Amino acid sequence: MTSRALLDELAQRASHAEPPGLDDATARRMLDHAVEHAVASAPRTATASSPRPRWPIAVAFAAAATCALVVGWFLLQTPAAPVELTRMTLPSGDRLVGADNARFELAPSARGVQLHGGTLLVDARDRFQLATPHLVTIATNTVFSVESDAERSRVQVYRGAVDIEQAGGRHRITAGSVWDSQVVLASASTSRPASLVVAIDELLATAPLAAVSRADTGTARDTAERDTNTRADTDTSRDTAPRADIANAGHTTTRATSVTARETTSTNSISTARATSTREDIATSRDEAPSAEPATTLDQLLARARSELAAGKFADALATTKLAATRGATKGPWRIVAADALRGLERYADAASTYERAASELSGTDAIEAGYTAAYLRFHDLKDPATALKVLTTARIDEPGSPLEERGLALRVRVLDALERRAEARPFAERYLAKFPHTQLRPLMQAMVDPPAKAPLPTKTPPAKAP
Amino acid sequence: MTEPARTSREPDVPSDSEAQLALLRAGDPSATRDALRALLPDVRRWLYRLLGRSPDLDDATQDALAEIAAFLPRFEGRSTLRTAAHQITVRVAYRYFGRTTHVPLEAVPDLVAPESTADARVMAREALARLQRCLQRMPPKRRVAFVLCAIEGLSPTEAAHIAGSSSLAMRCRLLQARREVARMLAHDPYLARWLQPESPP
Repeated sequence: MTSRALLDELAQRASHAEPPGLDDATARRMLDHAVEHAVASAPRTATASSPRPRWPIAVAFAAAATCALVVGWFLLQTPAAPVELTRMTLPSGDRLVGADNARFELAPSARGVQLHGGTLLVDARDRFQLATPHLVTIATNTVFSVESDAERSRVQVYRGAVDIEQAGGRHRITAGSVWDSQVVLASASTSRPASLVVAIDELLATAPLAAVSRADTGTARDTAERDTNTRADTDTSRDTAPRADIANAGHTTTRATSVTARETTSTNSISTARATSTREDIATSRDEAPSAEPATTLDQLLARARSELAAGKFADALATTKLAATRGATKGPWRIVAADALRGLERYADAASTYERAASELSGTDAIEAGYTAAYLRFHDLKDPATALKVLTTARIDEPGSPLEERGLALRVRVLDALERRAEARPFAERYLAKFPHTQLRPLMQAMVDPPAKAPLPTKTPPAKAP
Repeated sequence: MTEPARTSREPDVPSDSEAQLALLRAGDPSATRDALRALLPDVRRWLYRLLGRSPDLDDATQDALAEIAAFLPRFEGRSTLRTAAHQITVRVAYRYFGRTTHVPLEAVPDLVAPESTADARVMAREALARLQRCLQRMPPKRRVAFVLCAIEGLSPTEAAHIAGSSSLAMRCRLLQARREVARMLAHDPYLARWLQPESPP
């Protein structure tokens, strides 16, 4: 066989390969956050405008520049105003401090940030990524800052080490070094951004967030091969919340605030953070006691419960649903959150019942998802195929056109097989094969469709003759 | 954020009907969620074929869904929603190229019948893993060209539309990609042995 034929054969087989499965809870979380992102980044109404002549713009610019010079001179004569910082702690434990009007967006998984401008100080726990228009930084157990403007980006490390990807190359800089994207070179530096001096000291004063420090005292070098060996187990990334928890007073000395959601038209942008909250000025010469949290709304409680779920804090999430229940919120999304929490606590019977109630209360895709999860728990965890079958039928999961038709058909066939009702399973297996012919369940479905191998008939012995 | 009031309606698969389009352009959360739900398996499959068994697959899937969701209000219906989603997914995949990932043997799905011997299954998985490693070593644009045309089965014109390039550029990249992969596989004794016909018992 020629190498081209070999290539075609492999490509053909690759076209049948299916990705690793996505469990329902993860899929639901992904959809939730995508929808929230869509709502948060909804474009504002644009007003049509006719083309304008450019010279008034130049005049206005010159006037603004003059004013800026005057104001700047004036400000130099006045005492320094308190530095305005934005602090946030992500559910993964990574801490961010924004200064100099930092404009940044969180990745949906909250494992990375896109910095559009300003300065951002990061106390990264595990494989945190920060991208600017000029470079990408990847850091683990590291305190570092990134300053970015239209011209360049500057990365400075205060503890640990940072990998920098720029212009196709990969470089590592360690504590006491600074990387300038304009010169594409690392140099030693002990100076710090003026706006972050105190914040840097605060972060360095705390112990590293993870037990093992990966600080590297070597010189900057290409670490592409090391990356494959030091990459964290990504299965654990599913345990981290995809959104920032903005009410995390335990980690910061001042009240954390969220980042203003900003509309972006860049095709390389990642999703925005949630809607804005107020930023408070923080005097650098004094500590402020954290103020008491205002009474939370049901929406905020729901967001908190979902965040707790995503972080694997199932008991906390269940407690939050009970708190909401005291305020009359029990149905719809609350039912789903409670069911997810019970499932996480391995209280499968309670979880299945709750999912079933949710399926009856909700409609559309949510109802089908809840019904499927209930049927799945009944069959796989509670070993109750009869009830699982009832739930599948009631929730109409495997009806043609259902978003979970494939999953529903697969589960129904397995359930009927477990109940030894193979004849009933056959038409469903046929439907499955017709509509989803290239999945890993094909052999199972085919076995359901094919007639069972006939056992050899026992030979009849003639009856004994009467004497 | 208040959960929108749900209307009782059949859970139909979202299509590009006028009514559905209007809901998506209006940013209706239910319609958006249904559309994303229907697209999720495809998005994940496209990313899997572009990125291989990457630890970033979940992150990339989330990014792609978020970008598709943000795009939906601007969707004008000139192409199908699936095509638009494919374009966005390919664009998202580019951000994840270049992150070299060792493809472990057990991470590759079985591609042979279960009743075949264990040796055959292991060899088939390793062969696919080697193809994925070849693709990871290629420049991103050629990699995309190979995946879209050779694996997804799109014509170069269709692939060019998805990738945002010209047909001519896509044909050139595909040709170069095939040569490069063929060259990398040509002297691989493992793959040659895997594809030899089994000896009779």
